[in-house]
Amino acid sequence: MVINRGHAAWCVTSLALVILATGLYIPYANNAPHGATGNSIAGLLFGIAGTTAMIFAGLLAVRRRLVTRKFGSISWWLKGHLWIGLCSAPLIFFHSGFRFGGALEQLTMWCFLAVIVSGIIGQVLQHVTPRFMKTAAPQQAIFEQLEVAITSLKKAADQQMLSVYDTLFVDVQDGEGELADDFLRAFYLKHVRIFLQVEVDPKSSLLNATQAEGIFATVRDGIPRKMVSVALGLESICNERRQLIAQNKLQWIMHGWTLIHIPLSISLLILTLMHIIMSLYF
Amino acid sequence: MVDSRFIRSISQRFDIETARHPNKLRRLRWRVTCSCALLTLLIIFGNLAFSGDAVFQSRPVTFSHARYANDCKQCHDASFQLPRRLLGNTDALFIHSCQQCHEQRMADHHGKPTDSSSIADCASCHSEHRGLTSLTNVSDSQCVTCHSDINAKTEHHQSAFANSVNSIDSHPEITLLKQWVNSQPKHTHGAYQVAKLDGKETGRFIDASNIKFNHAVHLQEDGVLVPPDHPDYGRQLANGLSTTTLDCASCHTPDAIGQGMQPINYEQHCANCHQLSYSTLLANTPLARNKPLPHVDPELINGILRDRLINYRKLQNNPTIKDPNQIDDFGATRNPAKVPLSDDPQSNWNWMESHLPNIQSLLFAGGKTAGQGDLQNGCALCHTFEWHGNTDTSDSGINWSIRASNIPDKWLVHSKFPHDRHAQTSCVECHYTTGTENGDTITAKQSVSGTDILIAPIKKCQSCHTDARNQTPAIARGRCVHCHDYHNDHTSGHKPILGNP
Repeated sequence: MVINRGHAAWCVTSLALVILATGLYIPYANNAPHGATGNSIAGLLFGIAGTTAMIFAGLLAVRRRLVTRKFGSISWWLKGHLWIGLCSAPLIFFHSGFRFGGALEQLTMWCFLAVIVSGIIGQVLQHVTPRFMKTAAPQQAIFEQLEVAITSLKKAADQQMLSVYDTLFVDVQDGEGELADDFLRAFYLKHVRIFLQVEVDPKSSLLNATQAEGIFATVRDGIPRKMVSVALGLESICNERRQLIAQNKLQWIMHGWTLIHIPLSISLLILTLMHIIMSLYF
Repeated sequence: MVDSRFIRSISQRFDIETARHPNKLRRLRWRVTCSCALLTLLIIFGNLAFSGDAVFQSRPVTFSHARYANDCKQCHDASFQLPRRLLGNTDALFIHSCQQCHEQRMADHHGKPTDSSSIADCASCHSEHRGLTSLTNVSDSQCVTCHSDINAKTEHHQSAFANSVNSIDSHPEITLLKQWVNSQPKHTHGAYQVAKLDGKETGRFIDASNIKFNHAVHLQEDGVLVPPDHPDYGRQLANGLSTTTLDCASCHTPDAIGQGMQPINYEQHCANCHQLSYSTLLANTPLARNKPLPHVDPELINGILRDRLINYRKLQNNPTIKDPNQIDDFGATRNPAKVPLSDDPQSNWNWMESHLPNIQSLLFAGGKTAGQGDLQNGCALCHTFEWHGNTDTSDSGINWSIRASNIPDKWLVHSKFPHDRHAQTSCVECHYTTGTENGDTITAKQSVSGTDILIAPIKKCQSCHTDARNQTPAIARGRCVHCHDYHNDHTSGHKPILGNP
């Protein structure tokens, strides 16, 4: 989600909450006989507030599952997740008195920090990456349909070849296919069709746009004039395939941080629950 | 923007079946999430099973409680203790578990706190789980919770102490040294245990020990006269007298723990020089050259005097004694020329009664006759007596009563002073008074009056001890617990720990 003017109200509210919490924390920490601790009344209240903020942020996952229910728009929940989740950081630090505590508390705090930091990094990536995607992959497809798009490109490439060849799949031995007529087919079978697989060989020479351009120029020089248009079509298909590869990478960058953020959130939930039970029980 | 894709047909680029299945990222995220959750549960329950309770502590316990680090129930003996304690449930307070080993109580403090919200239980001041810090290291802010406005916290809102003390820098003058011109300390103040107001306009406290003592005489550099037969001294002068030089440590010796001073008593500190030999004092009485009197009450002295007079009378009347120089058990010699002989007990009693008042007045009324060496003997030299008049018909037959001595073991009743930690300071640096009539400062070595209170004022303490946050430069910190105890056992820092049941 991009942070725009629509977030202004959330930003202001969150800032006000943090300022209010800070204003309450400073005199409490200065006057508390043993310093700010989690087991004082104020410390407990900060802990409750921080945990409530964390739970609210975590409810986004529930809301995303209940798509058809009317519990506020997902956009609203996402904004809440961002800003209220961010508010939880100072509240939790006020609760702990800026201490990391014992073994369980330390694990919980580091987990919490990892979740916060990964969330901030993810938010930055979500702002920056789409711009790259726009320039790197203007011919992008729907991410979940990438395989379908790639398969379609391969089919289109096959059809392009079949427009000039009777058959496509012939054994191409080394040294053979030197005839101009077979050159394009051999090139297609050895390089292009492999490049159009879903899993691309990272050593493929067509991965680099400049290199591919040079290769296709050479191919065009070595084939009959009637096949040049097909070669141009193949080049266009390869360009699109490269963009889909770039799109895939950028999508993983843009969403890969969730591989840290979400699992650690679950761990954080378990650890927090354990911390609450053990602290209150004892 | 122009669509430059090779395949523009949506139907060729979209497969509804593919949309039903989660993509790779989602599948991977799901697996990582499950693994993370399982790992977390494994860590938690693994620690529960193998590491004990210590893993759940917010911070390590103090070193004194280290043996209970893995047994939270030793102290946390109530379930859901934290919320119940904060809500005021008395069963959840940290009192019962502490008292399994410690005998100190919240009620130890004078002026028991009425505001339970500030001091609810032991943990209100002694906060555990702060690492290796000693639990007795209570912060000043805990004391200031009440002592910033003590009147509001005590019953009837009338404390005997200064209403507001926030640190050593704002500590009021010691009550014993203040001038109480228009007011007086409350009768409950410990100052009255060791001193009394002089009743003058200056409104100062004076020593209430009822003992006359001249420090200057005893500490003079030329020394003091001592009896020649004194066991410790032998610097004999030309005229046959002996002198010795005394210092503070001659009488003021540290107690067993090195912090306070041992109590002053006659037998240990005075008897070697002041031997209560009244032979010279009583030179013109029948008890001349008697053995020393014991250091007892006037009533007992009176009884002893009676016995000695009667025995003297009997000695004089005993015809079997031929040697006129024979002395009785009390040192009296037979001198029949001076004592009229009589076998009549009533006559002997009357004779005794006629001599007794004179001897009493010599002893109790402040005789200054030179005794052995150059000593002045007589009970009134040191003690204060009261005469009850000739109409006294008390059973003891004595018209004199002695004002009980009240030499305090400890002057600062509401605080403690570790002398051993101030060993580098000379005695007179702190033991002086500015309470003289002309306002001069005189040290203990210059004090001539037994009513002088030779205690340093608070500014003397403040010259070295200061609030930690204001140290520029630092010499010593001045925290409340350095001088004051909440649990008012001033003889030791801690009471023995009871056996663990």
